[in-house]
Amino acid sequence: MNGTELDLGEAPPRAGAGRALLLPGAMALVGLVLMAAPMLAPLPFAPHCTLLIVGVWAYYQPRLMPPALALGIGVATDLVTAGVLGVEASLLALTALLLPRGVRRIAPRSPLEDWALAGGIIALYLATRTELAVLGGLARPTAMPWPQWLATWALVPAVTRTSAWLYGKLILRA
Amino acid sequence: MVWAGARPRAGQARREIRARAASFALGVVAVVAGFGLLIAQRYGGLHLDRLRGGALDATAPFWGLTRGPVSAVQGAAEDISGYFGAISRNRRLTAENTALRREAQRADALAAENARLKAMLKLTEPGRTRIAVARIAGGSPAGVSETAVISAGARDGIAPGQPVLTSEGLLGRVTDVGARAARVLLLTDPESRVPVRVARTGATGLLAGVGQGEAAIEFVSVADLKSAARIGDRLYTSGEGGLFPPDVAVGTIVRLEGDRAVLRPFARPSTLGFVVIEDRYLPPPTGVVGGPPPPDQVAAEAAARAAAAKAAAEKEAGARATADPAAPPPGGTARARSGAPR
Repeated sequence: MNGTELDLGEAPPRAGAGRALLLPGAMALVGLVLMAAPMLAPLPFAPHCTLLIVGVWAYYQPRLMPPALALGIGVATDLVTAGVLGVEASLLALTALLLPRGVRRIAPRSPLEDWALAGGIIALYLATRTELAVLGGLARPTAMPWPQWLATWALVPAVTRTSAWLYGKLILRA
Repeated sequence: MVWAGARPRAGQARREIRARAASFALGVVAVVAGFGLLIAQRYGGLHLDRLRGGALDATAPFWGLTRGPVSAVQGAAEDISGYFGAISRNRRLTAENTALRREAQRADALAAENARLKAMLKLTEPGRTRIAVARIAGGSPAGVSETAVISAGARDGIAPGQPVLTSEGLLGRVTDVGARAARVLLLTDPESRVPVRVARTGATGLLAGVGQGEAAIEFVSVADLKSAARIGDRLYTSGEGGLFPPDVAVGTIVRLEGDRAVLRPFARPSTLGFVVIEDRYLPPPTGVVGGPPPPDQVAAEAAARAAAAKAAAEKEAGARATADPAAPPPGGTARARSGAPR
């Protein structure tokens, strides 16, 4: 997260709100397809792409990732990954609601500190997801997917850079 | 790479506060809606079969795109490892081949003896019906569930509940079906249950997925576990319940934990190979499993019953007419006796 400064609540300039929402929405859908990609190993190693994209946009550009959009992305994630409907939907919406309003105000601002904080948020998300899945009818809880946590956390800087680059190219210059 | 722009202008503060309050309220509504979906599915029994099938169909074309590069990388890696390990592997395979030939001869003799004994007992067994052969197109490596997606759907005769096998053994069973794709619940998913038998001892039990590529079979006590299974034992399907055919290889026990044996399945979806989808080994008992039959099936059965009753009545009336020419016409008798709809 190199130099990714963002003023909270700033509207994207010279772009309609609906059109501007297309970028994070489209990124989330691409991430969703990658999440359902062929398996290379029996472990849940694949990064949680939709969490990454929703989290990064909600943290740095909350107006472009409202909880309602995150809810839609979550429903699609539940359906495509055969999860319990409502688990990813409610958690992604909660992420989009709390990240900009709660976490970002108390969060440290240096890139490394942000990254460390992201690790904690991802771990909390994955652990809560398992518990919610049990609440939603999963037969028994699964173990914490640490390989997935590591892969997701490792990708935070790359997703942030890519999102910032796309934001600059497609929205700021539109 | 700067995300920031101009700060809000003066005079907009009040409007900004209202907008933020409205946005927060909408956000809370979205979160509540998400939890509402969760609770509705848990307690309200949302029927999502068509929705999940539609999601499968909508995303299936993209799996072809993601599968291509992955297959290429896997193929290249196998080629490289194959080149460097060719000589040692050739020696190992030659030795294995010799041993397997001996085993095959012994198995042939046993199979012939088995067939003779079954013929003497006049034992009848249901056959296995192959529905389709399909390729594994994708999976859910990032989800809570452990599933794979195959490139065959309702158009190919795939239906929920059908067992899915690979050349190595049992992979799982079909859960969601779209028109061109279907989802397979893997043995290792926590929702999966498979009746199995330990090959060495004949002990039977229910295999349950525990996630992360493993499944486990639980015994009543540690003593039971020690007498029934040990590390390296192979497990096969027992055929109980009638869903999975018997004697399909399932996996090997890799460790013992308390009163349960943890197993690693033979069939791995990560190989991106082909799978065989078979019909249920035994048909479900009518009216017991799967709820009431659909309305069109009920109507068809009623029509068939009416036709059969009519034919029987005509036959009976014909016989009576031969004996008594003053008997009533056959149609009226059939309807009056059977009460079937016209």
